[in-house]
Amino acid sequence: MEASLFWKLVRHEMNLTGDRSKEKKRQFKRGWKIGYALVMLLLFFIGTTLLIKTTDFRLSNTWYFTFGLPYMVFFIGFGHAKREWSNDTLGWWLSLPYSRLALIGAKYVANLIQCLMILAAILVVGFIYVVYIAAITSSFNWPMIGQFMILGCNWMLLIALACPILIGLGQFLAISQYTNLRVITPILWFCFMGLGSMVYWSGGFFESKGNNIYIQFSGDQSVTFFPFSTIFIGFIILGWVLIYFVIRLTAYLIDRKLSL
Amino acid sequence: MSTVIQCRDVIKTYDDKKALNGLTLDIPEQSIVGVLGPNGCGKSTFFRSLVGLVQPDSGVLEILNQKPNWRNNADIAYLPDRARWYPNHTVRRAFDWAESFLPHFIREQAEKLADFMELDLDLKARGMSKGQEARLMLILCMARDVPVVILDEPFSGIDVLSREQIIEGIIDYLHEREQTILISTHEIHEIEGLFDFTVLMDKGKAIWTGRTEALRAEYGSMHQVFRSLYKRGLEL
Repeated sequence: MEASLFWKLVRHEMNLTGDRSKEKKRQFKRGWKIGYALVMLLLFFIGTTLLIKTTDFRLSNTWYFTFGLPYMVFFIGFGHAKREWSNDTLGWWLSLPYSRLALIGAKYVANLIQCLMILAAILVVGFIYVVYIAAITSSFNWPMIGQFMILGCNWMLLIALACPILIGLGQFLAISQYTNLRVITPILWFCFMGLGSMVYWSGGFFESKGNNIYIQFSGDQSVTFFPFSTIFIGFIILGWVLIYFVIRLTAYLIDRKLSL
Repeated sequence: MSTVIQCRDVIKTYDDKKALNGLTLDIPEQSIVGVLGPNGCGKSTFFRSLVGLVQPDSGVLEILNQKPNWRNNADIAYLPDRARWYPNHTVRRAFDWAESFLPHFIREQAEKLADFMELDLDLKARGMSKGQEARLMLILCMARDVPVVILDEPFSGIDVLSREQIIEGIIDYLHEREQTILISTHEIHEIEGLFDFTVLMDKGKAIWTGRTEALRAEYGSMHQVFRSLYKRGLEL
């Protein structure tokens, strides 16, 4: 397959929106959704302002609001693959004259780009937020802002490194439900969700012992850039290698084991 | 006349049910083939097998002298059963998509058909009626210059007016092309005149295959064929 065609597939996947299974539930137009998002953002700014002015709320605690991001990444991979079934476009997708690996690979790359863009956007919003907080309070200073952003970068970097794994697992789980592997999907759900918890609680990810992302957000420990242990890096690289085989397995499943 | 599809003892099982149960048939090239039979007789599984969406458990299946595979799909236009179109696409964007990904898609032909079937190019799939969406999907198949076109229930759930419009489109189009076209449908009384070859299926088997004229000579109208072959309990 030509590279230009593959990127066209990626672009098609990135532009795919809408889920027919949710159409009846969603009565809002796009404008309303954007409006609600802006209101939520405004409420977040007002809420944190009040918290900071009236309590001993620490700036780093704000990152707790992004605690669900790894799950969001997983469900982007899951939902995007599942959408072919819920939108009844599966027949069109799988009768395209391209290998299953190319088809699933295009979805994978599209999701990866989307997730990285979301993470970058969160960092930008985080920066605007911290500058705003510094402007309205006298107790915040530049080193504090720096610490806040380093903590955010570490967290986003951790998720970014895990993105290839999370998206691949999400796709695999979504597709395995429609194949001969569907009998083991409850076990896979249990395993994958358990794996997610490890990201939060494993102190082994950080160079200093007894540390984890939860403690980092509490502000009880000083923050350094890229605090991850070599064990963590090793696990990530191993995860990337394994996920390559998981993607190939997903392609094999949709090629040979679909249950239609 | 050479064959474009060959099937020998093809079996496909889902759990305990045999969707295809020793399907054996030959389909001649450049003919319009009606694949008919009651619900659950295996028509859609047969079509899905032809484009490699499902893999038969056993038997020999060939289309365009090859085992079904994704490469082969470049020469097959396939309208899936119960399919919908991407909800955020307009007709124009659907044609862009087809131009990018469907080999031998002829945009001018598609726009001509859209005009004939009264489909606005700026209409979004999300806002389409079932009939409009069916017309769009049919156009995406019919505007391809490929040797095999497979239409799986192209009229299902569509009102009479849209159905007539679609059938008119098909008839108009068929006069211009030399393709093998497989159509499965329940609307046989409206389209039976088109078929020059018929496959009657039941319980995963082909119970009758041959020239439609021969079928009519033996049983009368298609309606009579159905009464004779299916209601009687398939005493063949």
